[in-house]
Amino acid sequence: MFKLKKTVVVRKIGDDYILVPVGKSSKDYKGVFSLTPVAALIIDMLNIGAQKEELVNSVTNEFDIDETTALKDVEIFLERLSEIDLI
Amino acid sequence: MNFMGYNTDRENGYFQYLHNKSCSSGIPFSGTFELTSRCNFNCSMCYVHSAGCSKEYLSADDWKNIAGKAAEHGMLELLLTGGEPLIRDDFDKIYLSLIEMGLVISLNTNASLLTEEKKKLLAEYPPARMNISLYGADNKTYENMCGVPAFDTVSENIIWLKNEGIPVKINSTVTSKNCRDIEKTIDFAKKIDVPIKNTTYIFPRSREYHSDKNYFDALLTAKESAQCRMRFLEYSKTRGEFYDLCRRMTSGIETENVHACSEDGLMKCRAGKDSFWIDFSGKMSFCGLVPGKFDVLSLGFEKCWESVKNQCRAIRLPSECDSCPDKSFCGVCAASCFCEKGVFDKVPDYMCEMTKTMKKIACDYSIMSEGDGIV
Ligand code: SF4
Ligand code: SF4
Repeated sequence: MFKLKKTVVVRKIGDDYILVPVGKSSKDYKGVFSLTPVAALIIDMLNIGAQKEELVNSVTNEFDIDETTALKDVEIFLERLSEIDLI
Repeated sequence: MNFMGYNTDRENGYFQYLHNKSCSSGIPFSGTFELTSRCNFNCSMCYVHSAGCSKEYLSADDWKNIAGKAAEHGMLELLLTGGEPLIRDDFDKIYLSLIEMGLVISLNTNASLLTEEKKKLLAEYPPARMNISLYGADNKTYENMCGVPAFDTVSENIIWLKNEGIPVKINSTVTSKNCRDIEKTIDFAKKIDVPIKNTTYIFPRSREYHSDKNYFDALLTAKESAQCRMRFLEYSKTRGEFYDLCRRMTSGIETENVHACSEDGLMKCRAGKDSFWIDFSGKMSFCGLVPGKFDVLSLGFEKCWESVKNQCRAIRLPSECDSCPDKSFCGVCAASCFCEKGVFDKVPDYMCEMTKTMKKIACDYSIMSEGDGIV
């Protein structure tokens, strides 16, 4: 199960999704993260908590992306989030 | 594939894109909360400070609830101001509750109340930016201007914030009581490598909560105000930059200061398009310099925001300004018209005279620059 840490808050401004570092992580990140639509969908699910397979399913359902590409995208994105300590 | 962008520049790029989108769809992206009217300084030109008042009109929970509603409607940027916001006993509680909502918070402060406790709070939960009002370059000027010899404390605190890595901007308001310090405040800002902005135009008080006999003593004439503004520009820029600016002012080419001018009589700034202001008593306005009419606690955030947007759509600025060759650098805007004339569609005489005087000074410099061989 992957889950977004409490060090960021997901904000929706119009149809744009943004991650705002809060609390102590705002010391390390002085800006905000803007998200692509695919990333926004994943983040929305990670906010509650989700398995990798669930993420891949949602991405293939919502976007015109085949399963292999979706799996690769999800893995890359999860790795990136883990690198910057957000999950 | 890129999934995320990281954006720090509040003036450009992604934030600019969000502002543009919010303006066109009427999202209240940017708010200002005037947390209090109280202040430990007593500056004669201040438009809000109610001297001797000890009352807070809105509680910490009121501000938190308003922020929650505003965030639901799309507020991302929030400026906390006053009075002096740090004077509130419950500032920490308010600040932390707002930070938790995922708001990008800036703070307007005189930087004199940074106790060890406050420093700890700001170091741990840094705001996106601190805007510091700097009123002079020594304790004597501070005493004269604000009634408190606070320069040493303020300057130490600015340096502390800078060393802590918190983005700082200095705002310097010039009146008859501190105009001799213009160059010295620029020297201070340059020495510690902090950007400085200066204002010599004092909006006449339209929000008259307390009259202050010192107010009129502090005002510069329109001509003096123009001279001080040009002195600031000359001293803060390189000679080439300054002469270039003078040439652009003389020939009516757009300068940096274009946000406030009218366009077909409509307001050009973002007030009432994607930004709003809530004063210390909970009234919403499009701009802090124009009295708020809409009570957020009784009417609710959404209704107030709709009313403010409608109010701004109906505002027409003076028709004379539309065709004025100097509008590219004149600071005319809805607030200056209202504060000077009580209506939005009459030319604000003081602002107008200040602009014409600046142009005259710029013309003289342009001629001089040709003599200097800088073209
Ligand atoms: S100089 Fe006067 S007429 Fe021209 S834009 Fe400014 S206020 Fe309007
Ligand atoms: S009305 Fe004037 S002072 Fe108010 S936000 Fe607009 S440009 Fe600024």
